Amino acid sequence: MNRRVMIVDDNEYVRASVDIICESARLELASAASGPECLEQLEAGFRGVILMDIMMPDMDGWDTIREIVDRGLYPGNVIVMLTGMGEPDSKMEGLQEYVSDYMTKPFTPDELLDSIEYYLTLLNTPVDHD
Amino acid sequence: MKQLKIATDKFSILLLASAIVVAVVMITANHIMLDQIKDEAVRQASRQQESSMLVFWELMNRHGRHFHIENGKLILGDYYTLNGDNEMPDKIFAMTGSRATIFQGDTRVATNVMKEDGTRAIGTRLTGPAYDAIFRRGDRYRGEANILGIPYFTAYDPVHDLKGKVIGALFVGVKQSEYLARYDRINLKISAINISLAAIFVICALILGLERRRSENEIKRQLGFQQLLLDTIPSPIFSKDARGHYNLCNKAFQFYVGLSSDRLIGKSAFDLWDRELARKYTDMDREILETTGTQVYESQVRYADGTLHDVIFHKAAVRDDQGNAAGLVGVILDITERKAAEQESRKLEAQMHHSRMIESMMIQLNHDLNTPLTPLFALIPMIRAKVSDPGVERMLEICQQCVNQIQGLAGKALDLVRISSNPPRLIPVSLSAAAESALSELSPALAQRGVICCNAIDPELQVLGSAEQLTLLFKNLLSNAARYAAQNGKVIISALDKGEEVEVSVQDDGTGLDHEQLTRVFDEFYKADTARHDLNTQGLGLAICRRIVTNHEGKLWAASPGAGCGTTMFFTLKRAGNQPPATHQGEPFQESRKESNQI
Repeated sequence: MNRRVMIVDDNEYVRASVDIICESARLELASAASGPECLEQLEAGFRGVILMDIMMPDMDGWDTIREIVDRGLYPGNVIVMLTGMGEPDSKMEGLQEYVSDYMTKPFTPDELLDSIEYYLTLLNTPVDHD
Repeated sequence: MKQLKIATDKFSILLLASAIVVAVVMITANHIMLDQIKDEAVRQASRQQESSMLVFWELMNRHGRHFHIENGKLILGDYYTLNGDNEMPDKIFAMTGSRATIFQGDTRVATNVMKEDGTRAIGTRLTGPAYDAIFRRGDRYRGEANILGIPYFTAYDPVHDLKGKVIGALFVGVKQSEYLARYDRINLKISAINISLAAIFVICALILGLERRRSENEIKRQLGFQQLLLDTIPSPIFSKDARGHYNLCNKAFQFYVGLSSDRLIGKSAFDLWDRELARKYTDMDREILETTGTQVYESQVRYADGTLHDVIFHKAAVRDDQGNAAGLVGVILDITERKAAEQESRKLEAQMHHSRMIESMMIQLNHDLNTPLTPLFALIPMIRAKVSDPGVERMLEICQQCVNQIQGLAGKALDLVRISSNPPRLIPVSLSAAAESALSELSPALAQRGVICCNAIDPELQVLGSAEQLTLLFKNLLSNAARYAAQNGKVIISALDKGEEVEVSVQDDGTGLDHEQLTRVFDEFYKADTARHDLNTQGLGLAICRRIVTNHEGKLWAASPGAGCGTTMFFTLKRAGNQPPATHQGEPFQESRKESNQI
């Protein structure tokens, strides 16, 4: 049963909080401080729910998703975007289909866990390919 | 144009007069020439009569030298009777072409001068100046004389007897009409030629005059067309001669200077503007007169009405056939409005840039606020779940509310900036759907206090607006209603279709507002609920509502019968489509508008 979650956020306190919440729910958390780190972990074999911050320096959330897709690392993952109140911008064009949900910051532990559990269930459900 | 007409009239008259003078001179010259020819003819006739007379005497002399009267007859020599001897005159006529007569006394006794009836004029008498010369003065006569009423060139010689007494006369002569017939024919021909030439001259002059008039009319028409064209162009247009005097302008130029064309023409720049400005214009004029091509420069001009205009001058030199500068033409292009529009555009662009900058700053600020709020938001509930001390629990609750306050403020401030900087595109949207969307988001907050909300808006009703902003409007109004409605109270959303606009109301049965609160409730950061110090509100909700309604060109106001009697928020929107107004919605709530504060 896959219970792996990756938080991609440049703010270490956000990452630490998500870590604490996930720990409380017995989820296996991977932490990435930037887009390249996220890609590194995916290359290393991570598959699960990715909580992706949009606004990050250098390589933002959308750039990271583009790279994940281009490198063929998307299958087996669910991406949930962590947004502020920013408007949908032009960079998300063509990438929305890879985003399963949006979660507005700040969020409560329950909101986060509900979402993670929902998408983990989806990931763990075998897809009927007939 | 007037000058042209006068010049043309003068030319036509001069041309006609010249033609007439030439004709008259020609006729006079010919007349003089003909007179001379006639004189010569007359002289020749006299000479002919003289020689005819000599021939006559020679013929006489063959018969004798002396004349005498015998038995009442004129006898030549000893016996030759001249009376009735017409042979002699006929010989003369045959030899010289002149008629001849022998007079006895003053009576014709032998002649070939014929009477009207065709018989010889025997027996007729000599009269007139010839008679006087012969018989009174005993002299001969040369010249013109009327014989039986017909003018002749004549020669008369007296015939004397041996005693020297005039006893008769000899006459030779030709009829003037016969002699001058050739001259008359020449005269007639020359006169005919004269008249024809004179007529040709006059006709040519008339044709030239008419042609000139036609050309003048054509030029007048062209000039009129050009002037109309110039006058229709809204930009001032002018031309100057080589000395810098205006010689043409259009109506726009007259308006610019404030003088009519009549008063403008012939003036120089120094006559119209102050010295400094005039010097600048003339310097630029001189420059273009010395060079080729078009001169373009930006300047400012003061119109006659005192207004200062930004303009662009376009000038070009006019050159004569030798390439010398004969003047210049100029167009003044008024760019005042363009400059003002450019300035306005720059201002708007700066404002847009400023708005975008503030918006992007607010987005960044919102993100930067929300990021550190995330751990707080996530961790405080977890800590609260782990503590049992009521004191610590209370402290954590305060922390939680502060975090809520910051988060709400960040979100609302961003909302306010965003709706202020981006005027929405107004399209037909369903009003009921916008309310429903807001209701579904707010339902947990409403349910928390047991408030029931009823959306009574006709699902078919459409308004012109932005669905996103209208949802935000309802969210803010419902959020207030959820907060201030009575516990387990009721909130009713309804819309009154007024034809061109729709009046929407959100009515609660809660705490209500007093007069002062009604007047201040739409101010930014104003909280009606000061006594409760509600940390979950930011005082921006109604300010956002007001901005959204303004974006939709509507009105927003609040009404409340008083404290404790509930509040109704009203706003108007433009109706989409042309359906007839439905009057059943919203009617039960009209009585609540006892006191209102309209925005």
